[in-house]
Amino acid sequence: MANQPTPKDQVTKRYWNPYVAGVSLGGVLFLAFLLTGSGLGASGGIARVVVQVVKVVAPSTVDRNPYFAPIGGGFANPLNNHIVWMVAGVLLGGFVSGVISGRSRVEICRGPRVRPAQRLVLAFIGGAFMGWGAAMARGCTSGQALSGGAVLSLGSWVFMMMIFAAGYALAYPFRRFWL
Amino acid sequence: MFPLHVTGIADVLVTIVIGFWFGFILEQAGFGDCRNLAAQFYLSDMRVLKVMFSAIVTAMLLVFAGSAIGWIDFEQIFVPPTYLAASVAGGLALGIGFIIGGYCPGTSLVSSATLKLDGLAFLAGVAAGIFLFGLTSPYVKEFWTVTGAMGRVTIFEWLGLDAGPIVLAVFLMAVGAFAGAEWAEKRFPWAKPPVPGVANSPVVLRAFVTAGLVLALVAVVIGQPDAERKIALQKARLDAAVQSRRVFIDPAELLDLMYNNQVDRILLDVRSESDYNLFHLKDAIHATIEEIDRFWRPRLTAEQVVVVMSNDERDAIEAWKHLAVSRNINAYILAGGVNRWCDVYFAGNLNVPGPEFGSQGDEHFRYAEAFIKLRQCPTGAVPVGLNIPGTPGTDIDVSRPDQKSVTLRQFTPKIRLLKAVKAPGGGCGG
Repeated sequence: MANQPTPKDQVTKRYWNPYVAGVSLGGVLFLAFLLTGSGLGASGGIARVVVQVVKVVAPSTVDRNPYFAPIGGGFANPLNNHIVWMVAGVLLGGFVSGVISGRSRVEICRGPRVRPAQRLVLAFIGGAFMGWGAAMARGCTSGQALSGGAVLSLGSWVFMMMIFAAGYALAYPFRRFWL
Repeated sequence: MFPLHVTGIADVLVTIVIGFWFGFILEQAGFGDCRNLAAQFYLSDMRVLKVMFSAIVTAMLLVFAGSAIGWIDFEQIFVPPTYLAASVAGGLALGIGFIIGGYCPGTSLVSSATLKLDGLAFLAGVAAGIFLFGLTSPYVKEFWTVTGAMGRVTIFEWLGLDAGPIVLAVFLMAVGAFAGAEWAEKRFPWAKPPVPGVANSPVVLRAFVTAGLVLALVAVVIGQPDAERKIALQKARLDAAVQSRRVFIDPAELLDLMYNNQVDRILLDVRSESDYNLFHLKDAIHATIEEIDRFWRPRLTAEQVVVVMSNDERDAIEAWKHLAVSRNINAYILAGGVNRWCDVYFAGNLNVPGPEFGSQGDEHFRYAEAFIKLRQCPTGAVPVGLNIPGTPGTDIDVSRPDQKSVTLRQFTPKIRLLKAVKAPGGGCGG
């Protein structure tokens, strides 16, 4: 059963054509390579914010943890990093785009058979899997799949295949969430 | 040559602007709404595949075509290191998170920025998941850092091919996937998102595919630059370093380096095997140009100090260029080569010219006969002709004279430790 458009959806402007969006995104990614030598990313910035928060609350945990310590242990400032500025830019760009297209509104996007509160719980759980996986894989769809994939990193392509494999494998069992 | 490696405030501004367009385009493509993203897994809206693959392929074609024509130094482009076990585990977890939550970290940022509460909840979940990983990291450390760790490796390097064929193959595969996606969207209308995107324009798509094919063929036909072409592309920089004698070090400085245990030093001897076997500096490793290209250049790090030597200078200079072409290798040349070294520490001539003065020798090892004779009288006696003032009657090991010998000759130190020019990491690992 297809999602029924709500009156609010009618007001929204059309999305970009996906191929045009993709090629444009590829151009931005290329520009990133040209100017900085590295690509895009997202989870790294979120991780650094997490480390900063933990550092304020329990600094010794950061110093003694093999994952947190290289990011923000000792005198290092976890927020003083390329990927954090990238995330700031992403938030800004998403915000501006939402505003000018009329898509910026407080709402809960969800599948037709999921109630709003359920959706929030599912989103949190899904995010937790994503966060754990991104930390394990040292990147997410932006840093590894998109940027690593573009430079043909072996691990990045393996990672990408696994994401799609797991997603498609669970699509039918979890169809109640979306259909 | 690209990449430019902007630093400081320029890096901050450039990165924010790039991030801005990243987020803007994602939102304009509809990636701030989980329904659009989840539809991918029901084949009714394939925009995730279309956007991701066209972005990957576009950047890939531009990078490798740019590298083939010599505008981009691919060695300086950040390639996330490969950790196979971690990639499999992490990828599966991300797939699970995707189908449950409907976002990924980047799109959850965009969704949150457009005030979607589910995006915010997802983002909070991502933070929690990362924190959880941190807490469990001591227990998964070996799996995370060692299992299946292959370092920086691309698909084409792993297959032993040039980049071109793989670039073309990926491009063709993507075009095939797009055709499949168009078919699937018509066939499986279950989870059609409510708001449509701008329809495909055949003209535009044909232009993209044509341009892509051209770039792929450039990468295939011209191919990635080999060592010789890289040296030619950087001729000006390399020749200037050699002419200025900046990278030539005095034998005494090399001897000093050999006693400096704080520095990770590699001595590469590019003379013939017979010369090397007859005499070489202590701990010097024999290397051919081919070994330098295939083994040493990919493995040396910026922290290591490499000194290249031949009998005179001609061969060492060529070998040095094969190393110096990589900006993350700190390589020097022994001024005057092994001949001048033996002039000082075998023949006791402390007045040989300094490193500013080159050697025009034709790579003949002038001490070959002397060492052959030495080998025939293995009594450990001092080499004939050696008379270093202040150290009468001492057994001199010419391959590494006593540390006191360093002070017998003045030199201006030229070796500097190198700060690696690194591209900032992209994901959580960086």
